[in-house]
Amino acid sequence: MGVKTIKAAFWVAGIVLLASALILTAHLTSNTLEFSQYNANWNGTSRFFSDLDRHHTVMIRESAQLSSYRNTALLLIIAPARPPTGEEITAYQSFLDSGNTIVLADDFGTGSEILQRIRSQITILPGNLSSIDRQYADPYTIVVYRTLNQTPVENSIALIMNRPAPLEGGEPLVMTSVMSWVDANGDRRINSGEVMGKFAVISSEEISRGRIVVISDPSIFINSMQDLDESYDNHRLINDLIDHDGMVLVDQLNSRTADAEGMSGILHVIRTQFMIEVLFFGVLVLVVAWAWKKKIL
Amino acid sequence: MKKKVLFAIIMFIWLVVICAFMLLAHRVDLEIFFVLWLIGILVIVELMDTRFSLPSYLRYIKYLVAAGIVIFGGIVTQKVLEILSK
Amino acid sequence: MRSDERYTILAVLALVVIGALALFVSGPLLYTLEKDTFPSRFHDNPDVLKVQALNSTTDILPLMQDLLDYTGPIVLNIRIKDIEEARRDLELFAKNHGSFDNLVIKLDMSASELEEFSKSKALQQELLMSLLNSSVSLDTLDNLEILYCDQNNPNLLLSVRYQGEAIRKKIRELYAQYQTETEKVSVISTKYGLDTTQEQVSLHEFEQYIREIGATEADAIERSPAVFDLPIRRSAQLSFIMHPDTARYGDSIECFGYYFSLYGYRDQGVPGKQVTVYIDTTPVSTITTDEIGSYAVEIPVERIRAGTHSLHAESGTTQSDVRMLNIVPVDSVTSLTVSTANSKGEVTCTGSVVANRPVRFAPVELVWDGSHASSTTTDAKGEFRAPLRLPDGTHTVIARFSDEGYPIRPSESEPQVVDVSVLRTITPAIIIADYSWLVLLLLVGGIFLAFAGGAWYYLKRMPGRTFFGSPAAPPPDMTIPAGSHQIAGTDEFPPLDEVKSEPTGDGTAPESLFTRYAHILQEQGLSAAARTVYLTFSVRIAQELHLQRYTSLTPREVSRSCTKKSYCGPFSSFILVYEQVRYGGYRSAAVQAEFETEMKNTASHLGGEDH
Repeated sequence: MGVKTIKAAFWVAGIVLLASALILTAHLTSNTLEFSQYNANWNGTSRFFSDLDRHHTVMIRESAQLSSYRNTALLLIIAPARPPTGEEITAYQSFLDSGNTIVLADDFGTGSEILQRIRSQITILPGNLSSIDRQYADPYTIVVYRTLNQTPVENSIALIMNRPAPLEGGEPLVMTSVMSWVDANGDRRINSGEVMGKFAVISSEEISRGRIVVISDPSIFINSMQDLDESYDNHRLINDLIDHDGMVLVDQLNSRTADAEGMSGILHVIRTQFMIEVLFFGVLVLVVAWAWKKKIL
Repeated sequence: MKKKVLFAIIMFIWLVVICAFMLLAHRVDLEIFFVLWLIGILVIVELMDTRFSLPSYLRYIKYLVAAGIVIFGGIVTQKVLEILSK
Repeated sequence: MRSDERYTILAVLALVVIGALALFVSGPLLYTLEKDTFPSRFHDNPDVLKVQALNSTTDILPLMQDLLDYTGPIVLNIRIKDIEEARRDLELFAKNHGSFDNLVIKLDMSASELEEFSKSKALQQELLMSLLNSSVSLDTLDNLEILYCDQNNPNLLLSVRYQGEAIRKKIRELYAQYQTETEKVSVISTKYGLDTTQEQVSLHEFEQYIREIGATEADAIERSPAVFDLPIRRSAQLSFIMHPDTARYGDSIECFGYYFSLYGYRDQGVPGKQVTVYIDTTPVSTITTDEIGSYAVEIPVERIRAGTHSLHAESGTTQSDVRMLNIVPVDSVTSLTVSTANSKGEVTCTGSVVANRPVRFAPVELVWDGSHASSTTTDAKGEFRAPLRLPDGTHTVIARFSDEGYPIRPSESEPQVVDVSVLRTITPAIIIADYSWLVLLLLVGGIFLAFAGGAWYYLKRMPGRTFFGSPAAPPPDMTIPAGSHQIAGTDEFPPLDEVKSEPTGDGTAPESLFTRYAHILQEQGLSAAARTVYLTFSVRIAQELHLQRYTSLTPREVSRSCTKKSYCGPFSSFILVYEQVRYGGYRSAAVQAEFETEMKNTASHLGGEDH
C-alpha cells in the first residue's frame, strides 16, 4: 500500500508539474506574428480561421490543388508576403480561366506584383489612406462606403478599414468619402501637398472567365477588427466571404496567415503532416503500453 | 481517507475555485493567486495540525508556509512602496 | 525507478516551474490590455483607440452648406435696407463660422481645402460687415444731403457729397474682393457636392446694390444746382459733420468733413492736411485728409462725462463750425465674488462692471470693512481680478465703481462676507515630508521584519511545546510497563539510589534481573521476559545518556543513540536478538540461548559502569 501511494503521488505531482512547465513555456513563447492564424493576439487571424466552415473550406498548400475547381470556387489570398513564383501565377491564371473568383487582400505587401503578373488592370498604390470619416481617434481607421452593389459587398454598406491603401483601375465597389487623402509623409495630418478626394478601396475586374476582387486592406481579417461597432458591416463582409456558395479556398502558399514559430510551429507541423501525427500517436501508445507492462501505471 | 490524501484533494479543489473565479473576472493575476493559495494552505494546515506530534507530511509543509509568509511580506512591502510613490 | 530518481525528477520540474513563474514577478497580472497592445506597422489596434466617430456627410458638409446659405439673404437684406435682420444674420454667420473653424482645428485639417474655405468665409463675413456699415453711413449721408440741399448749405453739402463718393468707391472695392472670395468658395463647395445657389444670389444682389447706389448718386447730382453759390472767401474752409448727436457709453460718433480752399468760383479739396477733432477743448483724434480733401473718423464714447459737449475740427488756423453732442448717462451693475481665504489670509476678488456693455479699463475700488480700500482696474472685457490680504476674523468686502469721468452712474456690488483664519501651527505632515526617506526605510523594514518574525514564530510553534520553551506534559494515557521504575506521568528518571535500592543492591541487580527474567519467562513466555529485560536496560542507558523521551524511541533508536560507551556494542547485539524475539516471533531454544548470552553480556558491561 505504501509503495503504491508513493508511485501514484509521484505520477500525479509529475504530471501537474510537467503540464505547468509546458503551459508556462507556451505562454512565454506565444506567437505574435502579423496575420498569423496561430496568433490569438490582436493582430492575428486566429478568429477568422476558427470561424471558417471546415466542410467547405480547403487550405491550399500546393498550386496543383487549384486545378480541380470550376466556376464557383473562391480563393482568398490574404497578405501575401513574398513575390509569387511562376508556378503560382500560372495556377492563379488557370484558376481564373476556369471561371472562379480570387479575392486578394493586401496593402503593403506583394499584392501589386501578383496583380501585375496575372494581367489585372488593378494596382495597389502605396500610401496610407486617411479620411475625416472615421470611427476612432486615428485618421487611418477610415470608414468607407459602398458605391456598387455587387458580390461580395451586397450586404455591406459601410465598412471600417485599418490603414488601407488606394486602388487604381478596375471597377470600384467601395470607396472613401470625398474628404479623404493619401498621407504621403505619414504624419497623419493633411499637408498642403495632399489633395482631398475619393479613393477606391475595393475594386473588381473580370479576367478571362473569372473575376478578381481586390481589397486594399488585409487588416479587416485580424482578431481585433472582428468586434467592431454593429453599425458597420465588417462582419457581414467576412460572413459573405466565408459563406460563399462554392468552395472557399484559403491560400497558404504565399500568405502571412500561414506564418508560424516556436511551439505553434511545432504544433503546426504536427497537425499538417499526417505521417508525423501518426508517428507521434504511435510512440505515445508504445510508451503507455511499456509503462503498463512494467506496472508503473 | 488518509489525512495526507485529503489535504491534497482539498488544496486541489481550492486552487480550481481560485482559477475559476479569476477566469470569470477576466483578471489572471499571479499575486492574487499566490495570496489566496497562502490563505488556503494556512487554514488547512491549522485545521489538520496536531497538538503534540508532528506528522511527516506536515513537517515540510510548515517550512513551505513559512516561506510563503515571507514572500507575502515582500508583496505587502512592494504594494506599500507603490502606494507611497503615487 | 528508485525514490531518489523520482524526487530528482520532481525537483527539476518544480525548479523549472518556479523559474518560469519568477519571470512574472515584475508583471503578475497576465493577459492585460497593456501587454497585448504592441505596435505594428501593418495596422493600428482598435482595442486601445479612443472612439471618436466622425462622418463628413453628417458632421462637416451640413456646416459648410449652412455657411454657404447665409450670404444670399444677408446681401438681400442690406439691399432692401433691413439693417436689423442683416445684422442678426451676420451674427449667426459669424457664430457658425466660429464653430466650423474650431472643427477644422480639432480635426487637424489646417492645411487642407477646408481651411481655405474657412478663410474665404471669414473674409466674406468681414466684407459683408463693412458693406453693412457702409450702407448705413450711405443712408445717413443721403438724408443729410437732402437736408443740406434744402437748407442751401453748400459747404456741408459738398462735404456730404464727397463723403458719399468715398463710401461708394469703397463699396465697389468691397464687391471686387467679395467676388474673388465667392469664386474660391464656390469652387471648393462644388467639389464636395454642395449647393452654391445662395452664393450666386449674394453676388447678384451685391451687383444690383451697386447699380442702385450709382443711380441715387446720379439723381442727387441732377437735383443739385449746377453752380454752387459759394460765398467768396480767400481762406480755406473746413466742414465738420457729426452723427449721431446723442450717444451713450460704448456708442461711436462718426465725424467727417471736407477741407477745401477756393480758387475763384471753384472749390478745390486739399489733400494731406492734418485735421484734429476736439471734444470741448480736448483734442481726441488727428487725421489726414485724403486725395479729395475729405476726412472721416469714428470716436468711441468711453471716458466722456455725461452731458452736453461741443465738438469741432481744426486744421492749422482753420476751424470748423461747432456741433453739440449730448451724452446720456446709463446705469451700471458691479458684481463681486470673493474666494475662500487660504492659510495666509489671502483672498481673490473677481467681478465685473457692466453698463449697456462691459466697462473697459474702469477703476474699481475694493472696500473691506467700510474703511480699508484698495483699487484695481477692469480689463478689456470689463472684468477685474485682484488679491486682498485680510487679517484674522470675519470681514465684509464690496466693490465700487464711481468714476465721474464715465457717462455711467456709479454702482456698488452686494457685500460679500469672508472668514479668515490664519494657521500658525506646523503640521506633522511637514515633518514627515522632510524625513520621508527615513520614514520609508523604517516602514519597509518594519513590515518585512514583522512578516519574517511571523514566519519564525509559526515554525517555532511546534506541537508539544508552549511558546516560552518549557516542555509540556506528555499525554496522560502512556502505559507504563510492569516492573519499570519510572515515576508515572513524568519524563523524569527515578533518582539513582532508588534504582539501586533494589533488594539485592547494585551487585545483585543483574541477578535480580535474571531472577525476574526467569520468573516472567516461566509465567508469560520469552517475549514478555525479553521486554522486561530491554526496559531495564533502556532505563539505565537513557538515564546515563540523558536521553529525552526515551520511551518513545524504538529499541534500535536507543541503540543508535548509544555512543562512546563500553556497553554500546553488546547492547546493539542484544537489540538484534531482542528484535528477533519480539518482532520476528522467534522463540526457539537456540534463539533463547542467544538472547540470554547477550543479556548477560550487556548486563555485565552495564554493571561495570556503576563504579
